[in-house]
Amino acid sequence: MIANNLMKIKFNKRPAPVLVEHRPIYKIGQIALILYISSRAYKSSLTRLHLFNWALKDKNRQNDFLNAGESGNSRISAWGFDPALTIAIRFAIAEKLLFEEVSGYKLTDLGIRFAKKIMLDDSIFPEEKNFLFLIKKSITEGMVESVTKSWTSL
Amino acid sequence: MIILGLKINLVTNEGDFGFKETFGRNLTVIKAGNSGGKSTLVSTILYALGMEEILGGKGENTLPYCLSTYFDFEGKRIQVEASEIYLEIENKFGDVRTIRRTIKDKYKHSKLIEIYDSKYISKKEKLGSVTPTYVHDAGGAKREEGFHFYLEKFLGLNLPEVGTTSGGIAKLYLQTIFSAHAIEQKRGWTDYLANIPFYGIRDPKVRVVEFLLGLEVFEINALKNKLMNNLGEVNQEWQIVNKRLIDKANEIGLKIEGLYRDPSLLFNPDELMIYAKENYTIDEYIIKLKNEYEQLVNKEKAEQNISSDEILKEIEMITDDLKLISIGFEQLNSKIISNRISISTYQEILDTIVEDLGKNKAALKLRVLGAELDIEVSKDKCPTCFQHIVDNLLAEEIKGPQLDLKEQIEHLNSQKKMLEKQMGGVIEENKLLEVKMNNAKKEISRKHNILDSLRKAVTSGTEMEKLYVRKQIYIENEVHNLEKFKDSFYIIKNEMSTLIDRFRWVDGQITLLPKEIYSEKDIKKINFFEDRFKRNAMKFNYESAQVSDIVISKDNLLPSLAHIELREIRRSSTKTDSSASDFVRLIWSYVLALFQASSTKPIGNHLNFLLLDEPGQHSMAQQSQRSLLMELSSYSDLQSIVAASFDESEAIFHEVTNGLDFKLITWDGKLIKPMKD
Repeated sequence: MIANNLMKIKFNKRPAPVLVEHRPIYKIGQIALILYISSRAYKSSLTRLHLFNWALKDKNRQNDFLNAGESGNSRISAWGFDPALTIAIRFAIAEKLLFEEVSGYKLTDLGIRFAKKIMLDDSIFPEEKNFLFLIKKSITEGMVESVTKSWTSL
Repeated sequence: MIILGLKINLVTNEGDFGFKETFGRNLTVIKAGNSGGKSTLVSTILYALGMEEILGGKGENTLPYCLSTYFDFEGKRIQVEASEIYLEIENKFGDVRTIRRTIKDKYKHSKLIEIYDSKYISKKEKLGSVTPTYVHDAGGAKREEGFHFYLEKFLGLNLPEVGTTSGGIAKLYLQTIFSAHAIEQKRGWTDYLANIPFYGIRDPKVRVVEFLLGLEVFEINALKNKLMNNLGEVNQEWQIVNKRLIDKANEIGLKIEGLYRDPSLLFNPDELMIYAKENYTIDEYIIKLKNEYEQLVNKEKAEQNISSDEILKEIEMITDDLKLISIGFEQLNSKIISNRISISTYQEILDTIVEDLGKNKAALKLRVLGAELDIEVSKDKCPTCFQHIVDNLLAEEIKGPQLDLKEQIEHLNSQKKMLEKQMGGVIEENKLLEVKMNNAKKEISRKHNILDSLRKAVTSGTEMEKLYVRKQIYIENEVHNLEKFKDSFYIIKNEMSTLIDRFRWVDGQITLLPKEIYSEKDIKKINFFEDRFKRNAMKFNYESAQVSDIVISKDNLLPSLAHIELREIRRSSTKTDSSASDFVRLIWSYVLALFQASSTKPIGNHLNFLLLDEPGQHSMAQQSQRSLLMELSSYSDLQSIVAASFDESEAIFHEVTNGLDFKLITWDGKLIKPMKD
């Protein structure tokens, strides 16, 4: 038998790591960049934002994306919807970085200032910037819409 | 430390506004209505001392906006053009300084704190010459121009170095010490030393309490650190010497037995054995080689007498040798390849970590950018309701605490370090294996050469002669290398002996250190602290638990009951006095006991100063509040400043303070008023 006083076990609860993508400011920054670099009039539909957000997560997706942009017709037939993006958009609206329009979300003046500040620092989002600059504004709402229409027929 | 006076100075187009007061040397009560600027006054004291991190932030933003933007006076909105704070403080030697810090100004930055050798407020002296210092920059606590470095010296403190969460060493910052002296009202009453700022110090609360009580643990720790460093050095040198010896031996295919990976008292240099091939010791092997050499010389002379039988026998022997060496070679090769695969796997993981690290650092920068644009989530605040939010978009999915960005970066950094170390180990091993493989290669080609010569010798005599000469040269070389190795071995052995002597000394010093964390004297002091804490709790009518059962835990120096940290005790009771206010009583008792224990011999490092903002939380019983003030006013060597609203009732104020000796600071309406002079 082991004496009771020898059986002390001490537990320390350790905090868990968080995906950097799930930090509100990180996702908000990405949204600001997508709207700033790759969207006409700093404005995009929610579906299109989800598409970009989905592409930013993976290099292979980005390559497909680049091909789609160049050839004009999209090779991408489906993409993921990330709940974190929607929550980040809600935060960004509350922060007055975005505002909601009939067909999507648009950067406010403050949002544009935020994006410009991000552009000035090369150490923030280097890969995202690279990718978005290659894409520029080549992925149009029309292209996104034509893909989403094909979903309803399924 | 004694605060002698405070002056808030606001420059406006309507003339100078502000506030000016002197404080009592013992108890001072600041009494004002709920929105009368009581907390503003407390904030300015902390701000002037560069301690605004206790309020949860840095710089002028921690102060109410009325000091930097505009305020209303007699129905008019008045813009603040410039503003600053003066604070006059006295140290334990009776020296007085006036500190001046800008809140808002076109030219002076709020990081600048100017120090004057003047009794500017209490004696209305001229300011005189200025010593500029700064706060909140890297090195503010260590460099001479740093304000906290100045303040530390002025207050006669000598802050110790303590361990950080990342395994390094940092100074116990003055701001952490201050969290036991100043309790602000928003968070301050929610936990023991709740306002302690985060600086990556390991167990900061324990360190603060140890320091304030003046425990010996720091001196012992400092000595221990020094000895451990010393031991680390010896260890490191030992590894270097060991490696040098092993490398040298490997180069010429020798094996060493009796080596110790780490220095040890059992090590005896004379027990080191060096083996050459076929388990001969190095000396035996040299003799063997010399014999062979002799034989070869003889054989060369009597060359004709060799029969082809003998040659064939030798061919057979060498072929066997060759097979063994080849197997060894294969094994080495496959080990090297499998190590290379590990290295590239590690490299892949390392790349992901480095990438993640870069992203997290970028997120940290984004927070800074966001804060510049007043984006609330950069401060973990909800943009709609300004409540604290968890820094995670999917917070609702997550249970339990999570790392904040800085912690996560530290976490990734330590993972990176660990991987690099692991990779380094494998790379090092591979280097050694490659040396061995090269030796094997050389040996294989030499044996092949001999075989060739022997095969030719079966038919021709002159070939045999050549072989003997070649063998002789080889042996000469080998013996030369072995003799050279013996020379360096002798030197290294001496170095090892010296290192072991050093190791013996350091190791002896370490065993002399006390085994327990706390010395007997420390335990006495902690027990005294516990005693004071209990007495206080009793005086303040704590009743959620039996006071006599409470102990100060030696693990975290916090009050605990049956090995559980004593906090709010929830019970279903209809008593008017809630358990939340009972916990506040414990915080009073704790903060006060720190002073009491520190000011009893052997004297600790308490600043003999307490600043309590609204201690009467959660509709605290008036009798308890009265006991607190009575206790505070009873110490001649303690300056205490208590800010309270007394529920905005004169009757309660009278009941709580009646008959006590204190200085009263009070005003009607708002704090900020036109300045007469």
